[in-house]
Amino acid sequence: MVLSIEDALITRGSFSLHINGIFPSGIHLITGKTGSGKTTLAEALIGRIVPEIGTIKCTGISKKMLAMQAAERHVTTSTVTREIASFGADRDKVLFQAGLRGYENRQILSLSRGELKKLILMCILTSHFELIILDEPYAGLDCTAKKMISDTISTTIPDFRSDICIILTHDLSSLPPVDYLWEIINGKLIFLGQMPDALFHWNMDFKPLKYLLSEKITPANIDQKSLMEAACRIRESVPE
Amino acid sequence: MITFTGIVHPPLFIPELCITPGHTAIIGPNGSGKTTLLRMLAGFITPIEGEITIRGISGPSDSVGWVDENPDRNILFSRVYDEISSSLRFSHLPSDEIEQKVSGICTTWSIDHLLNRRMEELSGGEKITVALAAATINTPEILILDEPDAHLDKTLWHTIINHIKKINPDYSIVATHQMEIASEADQLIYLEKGTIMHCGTPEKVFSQLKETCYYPLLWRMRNGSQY
Repeated sequence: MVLSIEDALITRGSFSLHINGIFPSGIHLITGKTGSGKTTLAEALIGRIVPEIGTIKCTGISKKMLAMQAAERHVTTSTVTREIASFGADRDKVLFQAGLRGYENRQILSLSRGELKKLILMCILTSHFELIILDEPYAGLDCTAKKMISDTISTTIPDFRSDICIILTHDLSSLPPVDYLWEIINGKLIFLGQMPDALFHWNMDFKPLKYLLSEKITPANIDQKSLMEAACRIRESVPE
Repeated sequence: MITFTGIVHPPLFIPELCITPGHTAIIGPNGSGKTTLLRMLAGFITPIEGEITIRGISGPSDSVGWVDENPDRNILFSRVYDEISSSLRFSHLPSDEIEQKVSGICTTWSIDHLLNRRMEELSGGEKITVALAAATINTPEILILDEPDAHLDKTLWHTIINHIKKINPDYSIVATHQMEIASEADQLIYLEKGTIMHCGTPEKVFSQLKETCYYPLLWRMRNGSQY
């Protein structure tokens, strides 16, 4: 199972995005500044945008899903239960993991932005899609919900070892451990490598990582647990 | 000073709250009432019970700039120029004055290159920046931003904060889920289940949130506190 892109080019007015790369199974993180083209890339990878030149090919992938930043764009039914059923997801599992037990018969559009986003993300993450693309999954979520989403990603994706999960975000505060790191710079998708070596080539302004690297400590990964573990090493190395 | 007294408006229940001039951040769980509080402050909704005063005068200010979390909800017009100039046009200002003000605010926000673009062509971050230009073109007394960081990376957010400081509204109030952003405010408010649980400097408020995920990650890494 692999997603491969060969010399693809997408242009919109004066903006252009060059994409090249191979996405094997695992969790991929793609970062980039506001307006760098993350959403355009997500739509191209899922097949909603066809590049003017080049090819984007899914090999061995039959079920794929893009989780859009605006969760309301996913809504097709009127109640929470019906919405979960529309994804073919396990109702009880979704309600439990999204913290929405007791909301079964609520009108879907009466949910708050955060509640709706949690519901849609949980429907997607607990259904078995072979390719999942998450466009700004943390936008609008509080820290408890962000952690819940990341925990679900890190426990679900490795269960299906052949799945590909691609997270596109500028919110780095509650990420799951990731396998591969990518970055969009000046209209080009660049592969930075595997963790943790890729962190040395990363341009994002992420203060917790900068703090660790300035202390010559490399975290094993980019999730909070790895960052805290690395911070402990700094304190352990300071003589009392 | 902005004061809230005896506010009852589900989910909000605020016996007393003072917002001091400067930059204020509001944090709290999804559904805690952040947006309702901001909408009340903007005058979009009137509390069922209680009173809001601004500089001792009861009722909403007539000088408010509002930027919604959803960039598409800020948009009234299809062209960037029309969007930014809309409040001036609604006020029947002379055309040359409108052009001058639009040109000035676009320079402040570094978006001159977007003026003739269509709103639908812009990225989420660009739409928010245009919304900020439209919200600040009249130098509002109160600038309200409802979770703008959902579409903005940290670098752009710091640029925006610097622009807001230049425009210098008496009050800039932002609801956010980014604790790094919240930690840079003059005043921090933590809402939970419609109630103000903590209010004060970021240091004071975060010291009471050490056992929660709201405590900034970098602070936690530096002092080793767990939750």
